[in-house]
Amino acid sequence: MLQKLKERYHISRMIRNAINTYPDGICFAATDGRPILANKKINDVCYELTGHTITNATAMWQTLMLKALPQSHEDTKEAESILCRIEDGTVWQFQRRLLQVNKSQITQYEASDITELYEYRNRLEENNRRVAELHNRQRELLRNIVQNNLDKELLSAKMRIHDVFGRLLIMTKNVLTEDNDEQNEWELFSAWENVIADMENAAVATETREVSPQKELIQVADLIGCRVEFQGRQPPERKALLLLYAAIREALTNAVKHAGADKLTISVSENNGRYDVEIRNNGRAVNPPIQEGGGLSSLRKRLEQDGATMSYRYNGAVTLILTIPKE
Amino acid sequence: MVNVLIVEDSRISREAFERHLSASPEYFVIASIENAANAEIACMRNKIDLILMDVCTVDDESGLVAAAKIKRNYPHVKIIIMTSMPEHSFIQKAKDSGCDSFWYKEQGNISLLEICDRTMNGEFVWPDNSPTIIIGLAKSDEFTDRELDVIRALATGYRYEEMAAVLYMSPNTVKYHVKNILQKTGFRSTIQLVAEVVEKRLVLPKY
Repeated sequence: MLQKLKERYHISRMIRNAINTYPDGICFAATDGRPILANKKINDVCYELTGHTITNATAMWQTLMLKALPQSHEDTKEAESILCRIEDGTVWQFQRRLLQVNKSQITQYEASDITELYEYRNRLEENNRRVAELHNRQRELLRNIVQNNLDKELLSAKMRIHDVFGRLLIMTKNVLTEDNDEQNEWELFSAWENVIADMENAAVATETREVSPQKELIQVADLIGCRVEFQGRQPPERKALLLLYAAIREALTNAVKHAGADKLTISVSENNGRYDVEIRNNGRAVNPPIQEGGGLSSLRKRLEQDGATMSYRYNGAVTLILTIPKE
Repeated sequence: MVNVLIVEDSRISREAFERHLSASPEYFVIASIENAANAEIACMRNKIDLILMDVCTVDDESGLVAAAKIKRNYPHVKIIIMTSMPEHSFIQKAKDSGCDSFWYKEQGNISLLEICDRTMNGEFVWPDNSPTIIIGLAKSDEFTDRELDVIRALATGYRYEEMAAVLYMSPNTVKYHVKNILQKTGFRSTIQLVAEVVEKRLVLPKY
């Protein structure tokens, strides 16, 4: 009997020694939290964090959850894990999993020092954030490249004009201040004539794309026998203007094609940071509701993408109603 | 008499084309406009027989997109795509849109009147290739089709993962192509590459 007791004591000491030499912390507990076996490491770490060694593993887990690093709780099928930092700065990962031993359930707790890993992860996250930032800057740069190219062409044309003018002014000054024969004056005159002709061409060459969209729309509508009338001031904002004309084109096409209209009236008014637009035509009446085909539905998509709205009013021929935000 | 619509956003070119066509009694310029999106409207009353269509027009409206719509709704209208941009994908896109002919404005191996005559006679007149331009240490025809796709995606501003998704390749394949492109051109970074391809108009992502 005594021999058996001695043997059990001996075995349990061996087990304790064995798990105490295990480099990580480990603890086995019954499902009610009663610890069955815990090594020195896990007790030490828990002592640091909670102020006492493990008396009830479930209670300990609850306390650890409160002290866990933000967003470090992970719950998967196999195990639940949290990260905690103790006072000496080291970061520990605690894992809890359920084991099945001889038909009874045992909870296993593990604690491992992942300080280095954790710092690497933080650094990686920081690097990823910086990469994303760089990428955004690259995108911005890309947009600028295209614009700069256009500006460059314009600028070089302007510089050419400036250059020619400068030379000519100096020549003129010389002719005016010095005694000159008729021959020189004649040369100057033809030089001025040349530069004026060049200027006319240059002015056209450097012209930005600012020809009125209104004029062109009236021109093409005229080709298909439809008169277009504009009422109210048109939006100066490019985005709003593009949306407006996309809608006018669609309305014009439908009015001529489906309603046989020969007059389209567009009225624009400005209210509380938005434009209210009505596009009317004098064509045949349409029975509501209107069937949105390819053109109208893609117009609606484009408008709504930019915060504008589109609806219809049926009073005789259908009227297209839009609201377009200024910004 | 052939009724012609000119779609061209540069006033100098527009007037030059009008002058060229007025030299022949065959052609009558019914209108000259600068926005490709208005071209389809002009076709509605069947007055137009031939469209000279620029690719990059006012307000970033693409002549290729407009041409595709017109060909769908008014297939009898003949369309000649005209461009001075060496952008490599334009010829294929114009073919896909069903256009009749394609003319490089500044190459001068065929005159405007000649291409109009041949197109109106039912011929399809196409250049063999887009013009070759120099990108870094490489000529533009040294790039494979896949590499050109990658260059276009870079110029659009995609990240590697986004490029992989739109081009149906793995991120590693994208990186492999980028490495090869940089090796061919001798550029140190993709920024340098993109700056050059955009400046020389090998790629115009909007059209």
